Amino acid sequence: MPTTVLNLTDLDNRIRGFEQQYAVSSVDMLKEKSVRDRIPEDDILRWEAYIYQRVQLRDMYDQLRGDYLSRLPQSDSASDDICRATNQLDLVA
Amino acid sequence: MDYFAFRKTLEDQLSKLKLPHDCTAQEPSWEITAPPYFWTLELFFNFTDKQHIRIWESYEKIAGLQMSRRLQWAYHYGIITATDDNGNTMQGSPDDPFEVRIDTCSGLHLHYQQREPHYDQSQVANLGLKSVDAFKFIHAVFKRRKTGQPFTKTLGFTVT
Repeated sequence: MPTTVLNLTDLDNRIRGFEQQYAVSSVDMLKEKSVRDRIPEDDILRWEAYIYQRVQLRDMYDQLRGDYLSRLPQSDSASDDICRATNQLDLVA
Repeated sequence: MDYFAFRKTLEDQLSKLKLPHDCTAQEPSWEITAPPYFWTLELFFNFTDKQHIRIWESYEKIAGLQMSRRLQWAYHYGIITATDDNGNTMQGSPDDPFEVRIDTCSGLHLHYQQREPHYDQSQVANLGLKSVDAFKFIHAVFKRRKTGQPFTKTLGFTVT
């Protein structure tokens, strides 16, 4: 069965494809009845699904990143200085 | 239901579906996000008299749960007007003639025999539009074709 896995970049590209095809922004498509009236219903449904999925995926990724960062141990400035110095030595080497 | 359970259930239902002798089913087309909380599904059933059923559904994750639900959908029965290089039926143009269509674009509504008007639920009696799922629609088309009864009988609605 044909299965396509979409990430955020894919969703961006598909949304941009609709915007270019109909020469309107996603915001106008969502808000303006006159714009929606000239776009086939099936395309509006797909377009809206991609927008919705993008919003939800972004939220999930933001939440995941926030959870990850909140679990990182706090570093003190002294160890930061040591790490920075070590990195600089590595670069020089 | 999550994506994996949904897909297994759908594949089971499709495998048990008794197609009329003049009908062929295309391979379902899936688009899923990673992780698979959101997905869309597209199905085509093609008839030898150039009519087809198109099923399109979009599912969303329910906030706070590891489950998803049907968010948007379009069920369409009408003439085939577009095919790809392999002869597979594709989504046609909005001006294509059709017999019946139920979709959620700008709110759930029904089209019957022509593009306009859009009948919303307040104009449709004896049928809850939301209660029509993909297989109920497919069976209504099969019955319509087998018996010649109009969709007002096989789906059981009246429009006002």
